[in-house]
Amino acid sequence: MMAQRFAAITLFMAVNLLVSAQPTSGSGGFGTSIVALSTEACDDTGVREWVELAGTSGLLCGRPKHKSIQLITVYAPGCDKGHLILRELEAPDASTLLLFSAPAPLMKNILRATIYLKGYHENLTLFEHVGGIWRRRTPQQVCVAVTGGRKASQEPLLAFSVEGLGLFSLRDQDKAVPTATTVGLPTTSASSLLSGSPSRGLLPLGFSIVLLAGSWMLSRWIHWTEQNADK
Amino acid sequence: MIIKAGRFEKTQTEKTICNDMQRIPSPRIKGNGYLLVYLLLIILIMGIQNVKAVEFDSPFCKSPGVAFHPRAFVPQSDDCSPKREQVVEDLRLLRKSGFRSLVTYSASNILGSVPEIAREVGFDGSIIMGVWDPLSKQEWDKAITQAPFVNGYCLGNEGLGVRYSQIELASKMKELRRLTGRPVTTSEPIDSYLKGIHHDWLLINSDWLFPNAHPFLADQPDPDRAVDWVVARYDYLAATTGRRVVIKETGFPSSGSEICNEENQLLFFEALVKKGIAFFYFEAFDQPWKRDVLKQPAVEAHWGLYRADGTPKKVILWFADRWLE
Repeated sequence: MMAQRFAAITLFMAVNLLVSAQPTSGSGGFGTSIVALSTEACDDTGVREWVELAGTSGLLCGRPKHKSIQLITVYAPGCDKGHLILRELEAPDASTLLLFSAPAPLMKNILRATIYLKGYHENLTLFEHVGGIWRRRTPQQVCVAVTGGRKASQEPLLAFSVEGLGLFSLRDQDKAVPTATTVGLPTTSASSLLSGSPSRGLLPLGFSIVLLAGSWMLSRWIHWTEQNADK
Repeated sequence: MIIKAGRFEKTQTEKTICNDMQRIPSPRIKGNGYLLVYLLLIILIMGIQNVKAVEFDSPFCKSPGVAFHPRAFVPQSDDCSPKREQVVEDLRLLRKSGFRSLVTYSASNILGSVPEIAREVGFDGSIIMGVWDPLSKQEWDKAITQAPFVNGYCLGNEGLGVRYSQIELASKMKELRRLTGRPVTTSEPIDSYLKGIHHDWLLINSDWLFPNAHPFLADQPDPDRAVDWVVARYDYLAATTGRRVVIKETGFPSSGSEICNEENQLLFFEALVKKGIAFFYFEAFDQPWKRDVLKQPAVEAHWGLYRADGTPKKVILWFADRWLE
């Protein structure tokens, strides 16, 4: 009886680990709580903000409360709503790191995004981390009308057109191109996973299948030995 | 077991137990059953993780459009109106390259029949008829007769506060909507939709936003930077207003300045198409009269995707490759 229970529990754990090996979909995925136990759950600093996105025909718009970001637009055909998590960190070289994460369906469908900053000088530049390389994005100055208030006024914004949502380094143009050393790429912490960033589970898929197969064989062996013991 | 007549026989209790056991599934079957349930659960969970199919929802992705002036159009000349055959030839050339949508600029003379001719030639996408002078009776009457062939109207072009006032234009737009049942808009430089004295008026009176976006004229000579310039404005306008935005004119001249060449023109459109915004290619043919008659800067004569003699530039070879059925 105890052996049967042990076999059942082992099988159950193996299946759960197999399920955990799938990418998390959206914020608070099933596997994130398990990953939090094994990854650097305490390596978590910086401001974090949930930004609701809404729009039509695939063009989504969000207005963070962040002190520098006026607006974020995301063009993701097929998506009419969503959200992103904005996280700001200070890099070792005193530049600003911005990390955007969003649910997987949104991240996969993004064709373009534009980040609008307010109150910055035009000497600023943005580097986008794409495929392991920092790509420079030069700003466009856009002057827009300010709504509300008695008097019509205008506000200059700096617009950065980027390929998608991810990791960005905001710095003065005369500063060197960021590197892993100067910037200190943030590791995947549990809280960023909980914020919707897709991540693999505790074990690779293949190893989970091996564990499942091994547990099944163990249960069969226990069953066979018990049968033989009865005889 | 008992011994009866020299043979081993089961007692009544043993027989009962054996019968009962035959009705109970063996542990082996039960174990395999659990395993099957687990495997089905795994397959079910994996199957739920599907991605919604993505469809590019801009109509201009399926029916690319071009801003059209006939080649033989020369304003301020005695014979400024092209012949019908010339218009047909121009439109056939464009249709053959893969264009299916059109925006025009005027409804005077033969230009007032372009939408109908375009439909005959095979333009089955969106046709937006332009009326250059909203206060011209000749253009007005022609525009109304073309209602069956057009999807919408663009009254005026970069003339607000210069050739017509806000009140005059608003009145004409309202009347044209009522008479034709078609959506009506106008067209101004894109920055006028973001700020300035006409900003609110444009957003209120336009059925859709139809701005012109010319980064080269805004001192953005690099093709990639030029595209960023367009996208930054387009995204802000579309996202903050929630309105449908289609860029009526955007392009890159192929000559007339050191940085202008066919290669950069191609790079501009290649990069712009990747961004997924809705726009009309500016413009169909080079218009030398802008430089020669109107005395505008040299670049103004070279926005075309085709040269004035009808020969294609590099961008047309790329375009045709992309869009031809």
